[in-house]
This record gives sequence, C-alpha cells and structure tokens, in this order.
Amino acid sequence: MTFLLLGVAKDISRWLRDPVSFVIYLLVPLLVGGLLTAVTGQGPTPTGTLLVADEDRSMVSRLLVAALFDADLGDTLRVEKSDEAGGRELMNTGDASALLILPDGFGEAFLRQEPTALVLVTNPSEAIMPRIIREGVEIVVDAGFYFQALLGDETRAIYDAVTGDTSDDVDDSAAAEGFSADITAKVTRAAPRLLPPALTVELVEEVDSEEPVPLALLMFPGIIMMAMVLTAQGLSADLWSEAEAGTVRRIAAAPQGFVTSVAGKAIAAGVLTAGVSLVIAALGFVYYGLEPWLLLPVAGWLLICAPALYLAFSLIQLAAPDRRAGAIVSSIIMFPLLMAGGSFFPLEQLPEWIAAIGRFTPNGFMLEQLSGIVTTGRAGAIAGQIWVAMALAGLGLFVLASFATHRRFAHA
Amino acid sequence: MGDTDHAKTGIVITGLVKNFGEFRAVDDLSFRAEGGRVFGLLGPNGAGKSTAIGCISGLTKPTSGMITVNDHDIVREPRAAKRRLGVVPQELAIYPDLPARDNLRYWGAAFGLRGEELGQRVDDVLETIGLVDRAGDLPRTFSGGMQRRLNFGCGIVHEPTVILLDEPTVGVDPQSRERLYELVTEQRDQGACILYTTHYMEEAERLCDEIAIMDHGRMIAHGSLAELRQTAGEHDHLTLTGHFPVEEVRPVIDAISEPHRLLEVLLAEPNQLVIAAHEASTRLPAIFRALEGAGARVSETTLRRPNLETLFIKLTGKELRA
Repeated sequence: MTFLLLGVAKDISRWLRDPVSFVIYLLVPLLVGGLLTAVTGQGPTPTGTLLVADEDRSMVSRLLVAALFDADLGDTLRVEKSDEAGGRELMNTGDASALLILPDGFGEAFLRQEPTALVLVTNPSEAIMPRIIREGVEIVVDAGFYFQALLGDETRAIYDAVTGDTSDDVDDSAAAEGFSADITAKVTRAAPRLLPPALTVELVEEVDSEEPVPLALLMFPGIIMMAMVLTAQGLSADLWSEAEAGTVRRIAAAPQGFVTSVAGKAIAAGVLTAGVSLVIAALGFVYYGLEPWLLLPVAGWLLICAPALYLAFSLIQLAAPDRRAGAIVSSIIMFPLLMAGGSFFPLEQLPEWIAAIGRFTPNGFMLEQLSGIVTTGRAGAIAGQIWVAMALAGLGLFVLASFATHRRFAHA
Repeated sequence: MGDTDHAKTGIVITGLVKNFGEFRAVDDLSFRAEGGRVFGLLGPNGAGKSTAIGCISGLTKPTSGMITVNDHDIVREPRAAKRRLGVVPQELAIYPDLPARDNLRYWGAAFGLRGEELGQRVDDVLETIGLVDRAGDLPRTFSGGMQRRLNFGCGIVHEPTVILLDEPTVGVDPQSRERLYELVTEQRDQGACILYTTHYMEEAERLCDEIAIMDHGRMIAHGSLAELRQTAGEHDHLTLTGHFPVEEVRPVIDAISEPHRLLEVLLAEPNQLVIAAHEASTRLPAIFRALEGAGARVSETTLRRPNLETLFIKLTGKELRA
C-alpha cells in the first residue's frame, strides 16, 4: 500500500509541475463550449409554458387562474389556458413544461375548508422550468390558504349570498358592512399567526414526454467529457517519458512493483482527469443553475470513468512505435471520438446514424450516462449495473495496460 | 546487508545463452561473483554485457543456462532474487521532476521498504551520495554528476547484497567519476557483491578485484587483474599511426624480431600498426628504420605498458573502444 500511495503521489506531484497543460485542458472545453453556446444562440435562461386546465370553473378556481396569469414572470414563463385532455396532448408532444389541473369541486372544497388537491404534471426532460413552476404554483396556493384561513367565513358568506343560499330576511347592506368590518379587523390582527397551509400541490411526473432538453444544457455533458478526454490523452503520453528515462525497466527489476506502479499511475491519472472535469462540471452547475448536490453522483461517475479512459489512451500509446507516433495516433483517434461522442455537438442533435456510433464510443457511452444526471436532475439516473460494468471495464483495461506496458517497455 | 552466507555467494552464472532470433547475444557465459568484491565485466559495445545484465536482473529471459542471486534462481524465484538485487542502469532511471528525496522514497518502497525504515534509509543514502542539502530539489536542476549519484543512490536504497552497475560513469566528468568510484568501493567494503560493466579499461583496473572480458557474446578472458596482466605478457604495446603498406610491414618487423621473437605484430592496417615489443623504447630506432625501408610513413607513436587494453588487443586483434 505504501508503494501504491507513493506511486500515486509521485505522478500527481510530477504532473502538477506542468500547470500549463492543465490550464489548456480546462480552457479548451470552456472555449469550445462557450463558442458553441454563442453560435447556437441558446443561452442558459430557461423559458417554459404552464398550461392551466380549469375543470372546476368556480369563482375560486377562476381567481386562482387569474392570479397565475397576473404573476409577473417576464419571459421566463408563459401561462396558457387549456382543458385537461388538450393539455396532456401538448405535454406529450413536448410543447409545455407543466400542466396544472384544477379538479372539479376544487372551489367548493376550498371554501368549505375540506381537503382538496391541485394536480401538477411536469415534464421530466426539463430540469429547471418544472421546479420554477412548482414553486410558483405553491406560492399562489399558499396565498389562497392564507386567504382561506383568514377570511374563510366571510368569503363563504359572500359566496352563499351571491349564489342565493341565504335566508330572505337578511339585510344585504348591513351584511356587507359587517363583512367589511370583519375583514379589516382580521387582516390587521391575524397575519403573523397563520398556520402552514393544508392545501397541497400533488406533483405528477410525466414519464413519456419527448420534450427536448435545451440545447445549451445538452451540450454541457459533452463539454465535461471533452475536458476528460483531453486530460486523459495528454497524461497517457507520460508513458513515453517513463520508458525513455528507463524507469519502467527499473521498476520491472523490483520484486513486486510493476503492476502496482501501473495501478498508481492509473489512479493518479484518474484523480487528475476527474478533477479537471469536475472543475468544468462545477462551473457548469453554477452557470446553468443546477442543484449543487447533483455534483456528487457526477463526481462519482467521473472518478470511475477517468482511469478507464486514461488506460484506454495508454493502450493506444503502447501500440504506437514511438512517442511522436503515439501523440499523432492518439490525437487522430481523439478528435473523431469527441465529434461522434457528443462533445462538439450533442448526440441528440447529430444525425441518427452518427449518434448511434457515438453511443458506442467510450466517451459517448460515458457522456450519455452523465447526461442522464445533468439533464433530468435525477441522482439515480445511472443504473447500478452501469456502474459495475464501467468498473469492470476499467479493471479489464488495467490488466491489458499492465501486460502491454511490461511487454513493450520492461524488457532490457 | 542481509544473510551473510547467501551474500557471499553473490552471483553464479552457468552456461548462460541468450538468442535474439538468429543472433546470439550471449554465448555460454559462466562465472561466479563473490560478496565483498567487485567483478568487472569488460568488453566493447555490442559484446553482450548489457544483455547479460538484463538476464541477471530478470528483465530478459535467458534462452538457456542458469543464474542465481544469493542462491535464488532468477527465473524460478524472481521475487526472492530481485529483492537482493540493486540495479544501477546505464541511463538515468530517475524522475527528473520529482525531488531527490521523493525519488529515493519511491524506489525504496518499490523494493519493500516501509515506514521508519524507509525514512531512515533515505536519510542514510542522501548522506552517502552527498545530496543532503539538495534533497528537496528537482534532479533536473542537478549537474550530470549529481544525477548519476542519485541514480546510484536509488539502486542501493534498499541495501541490496548484489549490485549491478551498467556503465555508470558514461558521460560523467572526472570529479563526479571519482565520487562514484568511492561509492562503489564503500558498497564493496560493506560486503556487497558488485558486478560492474564498463568499456573503460582504466576503470576496471582501478576498481575490479576480478575481471571477465567479453567479445561477441563470449567470455574471452577471466581472472584477477594480476592474472590477466600475466596473460597480456611483459611486452609493451607500440601503436603507430600513419601510412603502412601492410604486405611489406610484417616481414620487415619479423626480420628484426629474430632470433628471440622480441617483436610481434598484433595489428596491421593501412593507417595503424600495433606491435608488442619487449623493452620497446630501446628498439624504436630499429623499428623506424625497418618501416622506412618498407615504405611506411609514421605520423604518431604511442607506447603503452601492458594493461587490459593491450590484453584485449592481443586476444581480439582490435581496439577495445572500436
């Protein structure tokens, strides 16, 4: 273990003495991502459509709909009326971010302080807008609850008067004066002591929506993968430095150090490659306003992928006859990989046949899993067996790379 | 220094053969190197020295034959054998961008040192190789000699009982070369068996207790320095450069050599003539007269006392550094 740790520390320490390379690994993806975002005109500001299906058509439901229309959300959110069937159809075709259904009987239940629920259907392919909409709707519903708690009796009485449910001997003007005085007194007294709302918004996620994720967000995982591929390719060239210095042969003359030294190198490369990618990821999370805690599964995925990617590039280097050829061959392979693997253009935007190839490239496969976390906002977007498969692939590449390094460089 | 009885046996090589395809790089090499002695393996470039070192260090699998390090077969018990080996390769097999201390720690750990023992050994070796005050510096900022010393230190940090030194002074300035000689003799005095390959004869004469001379993969001479000098004979070596009609030169030299065979032509080429001569300085006038008579033109003359270089010329008919 001492030798493994010293090996990891050795390579991290050596590689970090060349900060310029790491600046390049960071800047190139940021530059490419920035340029592509600018060219495609897809900034990070999300816009969305909230469909409201008023199945109740009561005074209360109309007031709630009017409140939603009055909410000043600028260009961020557009509110449109719809019926439930039409709204669901628009959701399925990806033309709306969320559908709010006010069920029949909602107003009556609201006024009588009986349990009721609004149904909010959100589009899972959008990461940001549904959350904004849900919070917006909850604010409006909270306001409704406070209104209900504060002035429920008066509202119900007014409602009954308007709908003719009161006895004929009531003096209308006296009643109106009474409502007015009561409302004024209650508003000034009771506001600070309101209880949490009893009214809830039930969130239902639509599973079959085909709503496309914003292009800028689709490009984000590709930018992360670009940083990862660039770093892994760059670090893999260090094998030549070791071979030329004779340190590989020297370690092969040690009793048990060879495989451990390859492992140390892979871990060190993995840590630095994942580190660079994680910096890009963190910047993107801030830029796109994603949930910070999602960085944890992203970091985990990067950490498990990075050593495998480094080892894959090491095998390419080992297949080349010399350092120069290694650099050329690995670069020639790297750029088509980045292209097809979704780093320059999102897989979703590529022609289907290229995207199909891209998904089979190592970086394309890694990217697709990463997209699952970033664009849906689900930490568990990557299935357990995918994690295991990637770990096993890394292990297989490690065995191959150890064997190839020994065969190539360790002999006198 | 490990188990003393084992350490005494050092390296034993029996009938070592290494082929690369049709080419035989090492041909039936056998010798025994003891602990507390420096065994020199001499020969020109391409003689098979580095291949032999590769086989001994376990990096190259022998075609046939047997190699033991402290009684452990390098093929059958590689871990046990390698644990006792310290390899100082010809190239600077160190990390130029890793501080000297970290280099030593890394190589010490590669041979199984841990914890306090590792730290203590690193301190000791830094002291031994004279780099205590540069321990935290990067070797790429060192002079060539300092880098060579660090390269040596990385090979001895785990206190090996057998040390393989493959031409350690190539490209090293005289001052640093002296320091390396001191380091080698220190290790020998501490009981290590040292196998030292070089093509510098003066280096071998100075350092080695026992010497084997290789050429074309074969061992052509073996013994102590005194024994090899005896083989070389008491004749001085007279090396003449210039222009020599080869066919005419041999007969005229043979003519003045008789009746006691006091002169012998070892090498006759159009631009160089090497003659073994008893008390050569007293015979120079006769030699020059004979050569002049044969139409030769001498531009430079070198007279050498018998040494390993002259022995090599005697055995192979060519210069060692050719």
